[in-house]
Amino acid sequence: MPSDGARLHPASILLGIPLVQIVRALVVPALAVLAGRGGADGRTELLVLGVLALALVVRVLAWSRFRWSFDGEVLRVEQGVLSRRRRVVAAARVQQVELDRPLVQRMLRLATLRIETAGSDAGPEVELRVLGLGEALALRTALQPDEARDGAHAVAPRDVQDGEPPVEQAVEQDVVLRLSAGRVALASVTGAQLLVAPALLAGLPQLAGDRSDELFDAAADWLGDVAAGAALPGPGVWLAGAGLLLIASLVTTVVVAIVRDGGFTIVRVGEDLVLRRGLLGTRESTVPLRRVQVVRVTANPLRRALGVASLRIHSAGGSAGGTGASGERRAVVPLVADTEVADLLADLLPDLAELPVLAQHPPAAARRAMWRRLRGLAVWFAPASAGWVLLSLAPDASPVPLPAPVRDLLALDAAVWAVPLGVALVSVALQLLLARFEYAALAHGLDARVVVARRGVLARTTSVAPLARLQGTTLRASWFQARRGLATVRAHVAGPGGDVVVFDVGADVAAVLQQRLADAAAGGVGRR
Amino acid sequence: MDIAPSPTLPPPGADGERPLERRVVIVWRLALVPALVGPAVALAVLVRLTAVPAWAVALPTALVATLVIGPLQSLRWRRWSWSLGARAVELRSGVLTRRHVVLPHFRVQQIDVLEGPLERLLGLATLRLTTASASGSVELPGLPAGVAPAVRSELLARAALANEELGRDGRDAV
Repeated sequence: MPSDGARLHPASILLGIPLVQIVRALVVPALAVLAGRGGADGRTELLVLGVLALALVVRVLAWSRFRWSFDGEVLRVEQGVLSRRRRVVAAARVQQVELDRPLVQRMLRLATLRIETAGSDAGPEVELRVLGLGEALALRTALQPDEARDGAHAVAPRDVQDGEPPVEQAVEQDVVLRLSAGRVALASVTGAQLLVAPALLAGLPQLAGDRSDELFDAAADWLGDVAAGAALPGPGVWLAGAGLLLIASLVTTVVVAIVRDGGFTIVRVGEDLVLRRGLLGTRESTVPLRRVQVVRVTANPLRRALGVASLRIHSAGGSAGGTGASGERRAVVPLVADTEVADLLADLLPDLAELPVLAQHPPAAARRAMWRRLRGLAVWFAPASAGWVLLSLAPDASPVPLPAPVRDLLALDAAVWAVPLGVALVSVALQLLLARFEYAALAHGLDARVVVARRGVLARTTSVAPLARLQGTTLRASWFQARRGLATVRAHVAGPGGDVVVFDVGADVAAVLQQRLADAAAGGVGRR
Repeated sequence: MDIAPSPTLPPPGADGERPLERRVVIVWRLALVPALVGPAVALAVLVRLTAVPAWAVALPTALVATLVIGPLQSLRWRRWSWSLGARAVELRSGVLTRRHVVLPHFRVQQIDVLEGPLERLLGLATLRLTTASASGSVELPGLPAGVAPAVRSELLARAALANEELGRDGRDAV
C-alpha cells in the first residue's frame, strides 16, 4: 500500500543516509582511487561517478518507498525497496520521543524524530529522518500520552505547512532547570570527557595524513631550536609542552561541551519532561513523566568536593547505546548542585515529596568489603610474589629481557623479601582505604513511593526508582554474605537503566525490603 | 492463597511451596559432565609434565567431582522450590548462593516453554519468564513436560487478570 501515508521530506534522500552507510559507501570509491593511482586515463573517476550515481538511485528509491502515517492511536511505518518492513507502534506504548536537529537540518528547517518503545533492540523503534519541522513538531505533540489516548489529534501529514511550528502553546510549560554555559563548562572540566581530549589531540596529526611525519619533524626541529636558542633545559621544554597540551585539551573539552550541551534546559510540558540541549545542532528528548523508570545521581570525587553531581534519567526506551556515545547521553543532566538535587528529583518523580532518609548498612558490610578486596589482592599477589622470588634466585632464567633497574634491584640480597613486603604493605593499605570508602557509600532508603540505593567507591551513584514501575525483585545471599548475616536485594527496573541494587544489607532488613518491593511490583502502590 | 493451576500438577506443600521433579537432578548431573572434561585433561597433562604422582592428583579430583555431581546436585534440588501466589510467582534456589526471586504476574511479558534433548528424554520442561526488566529472564526448570503448558496458561491467565485489574486504574506494566 505505497499510496497509504506520507513520504519523508525529499531532503532525506541525502540527509537520511545513516553514518554507517556513508562510511561503507566511501570504502569502494576510496579503494578504487587508491588502486587507480597509477593510471591517469580517467577510468577511476568514471567508476567513482558510477558508484555515486547508483547510490543516488538507491536513495531515491528508498525515499519513495518509505511511508508513515499516524491516526491518533497507532503510528505505521512502511519501508524497504526489495524487502518491505512494516511497523506498527501504539502511541500508548511510546516511552520516549527525540527531536534531533543537527546544524544542517536546523538551517533547512528540518528535523529528525526518533520514537522509542520498551523494546530491547539496540536502535530506536522508529526513526523518521528527515521531516519538515512543522510536521515533526505536530507528530511529536500528537504522540503525547494525553493527546494520544483520546485519539482526537490525528495528524494528517503535510497539512501543517513548514511555516509556524505549532509549539505546545496551549499546554502549560514550566522550566524545571536551566544550565548556564559556565555550568556546562564546569561539567566538562570535572567529567570523564577531559580524559578523552588528550587522546583526540594526540590523534590530530593523523588527520594530516601523509604529511604527519613532516609535521613531527618540523615540531622536533622547532623544539630543538627552542631548546638550543633560548638555552632552555630539556625538561623545561617538555613541561611547557605538557602544559600547552593540558590547556589545549581543557579548551577543546569546554568548547565541545558547550557546543553539545549549551543552552541545556529541562521543561515540563503537561505530563512530559522535555530535555533540550545544543548550541548549533539541537536535540530535544521528551520523556513522559509516568515513563521515568529510574534516576541516577552520580558524582566523582572532584564533583563531590565541589558539591555538584550529574544526573541521568532512564525510561524503558530500548536504545541506551543505540546511536553510539550520543545515544548514551541523551537524558543526562550534565551538572546540578547538590542543593538542587532534591527539588529536581521531586520534579522528575512527581510522586516523590522528598527523598527517604537513607539508612547505613551494618558494620558486617564493612568487614565484607575489606575481606573481598583482600581476597582479590591475594589472588594476584601470591603468584606475583612467587614469581619474584624465583626471579631473584635465577635472574638469567627470565623469559623476557629485564630492564637494567630491575636487574640492579635483583642483585640486592634484601630485595627478595623487601620488594614483595613493600608492595604488599602499600596495596593492603590502599585496599583497606578503598573498602572504607565503599562501605561509607553504602546506604538505602524506602518509602511509600520510591526505593533508593547508594553505592560506589570513589565515585558515588544514588539510584532512585519509583515503586510503581518495578518489574520484580530478587534477594540473593552468597555463602560469604550469609555467614555475616548479609544479603543483596535487587529491584528490577525496566529498560536499559539497570536495576536498583541494595548491596550487603542486613539479612532481616533484606527480607522485609524484598517483601515490600514485591508488593509494590505486584501493583500494591501507586493506585490512583 | 493458591489456586491449583491444573489437576495434573500436584498440590503444593503446606507452606505453598512446590518442589521440582526429582528427575531434573539427572539433567543437572549430565550437564556437568562436559564441564569436567576440560579440567580432567588439564590435570592429566599436568601429571605427565611434572613429577607429581598420579594418585595425588586423581584422588582429590575424583573426590571433588563426585561431591559436585552427586550430593551437591541433590542438595540443589532440595533447595529449589517455587510457589504460585495470587499476585506473584516466587522462585527459591541456590546452595552456596541463596536466591529468592519474586515476579509479579502483572509484569510478566512473555513465557517460553523450553525442552532440551535431555529434558525431552526425561519428560521434563523449563519455563522461561520474561519481564521488561533489563536483568533478563528467569527460568523455572524441572516441570513435568505434560504440565508445563498448563502452568504457562495459568500464569498467562493471571497476568491478563492483573493487567485488567490494574489497567483499569490506568496502570501500565512498563
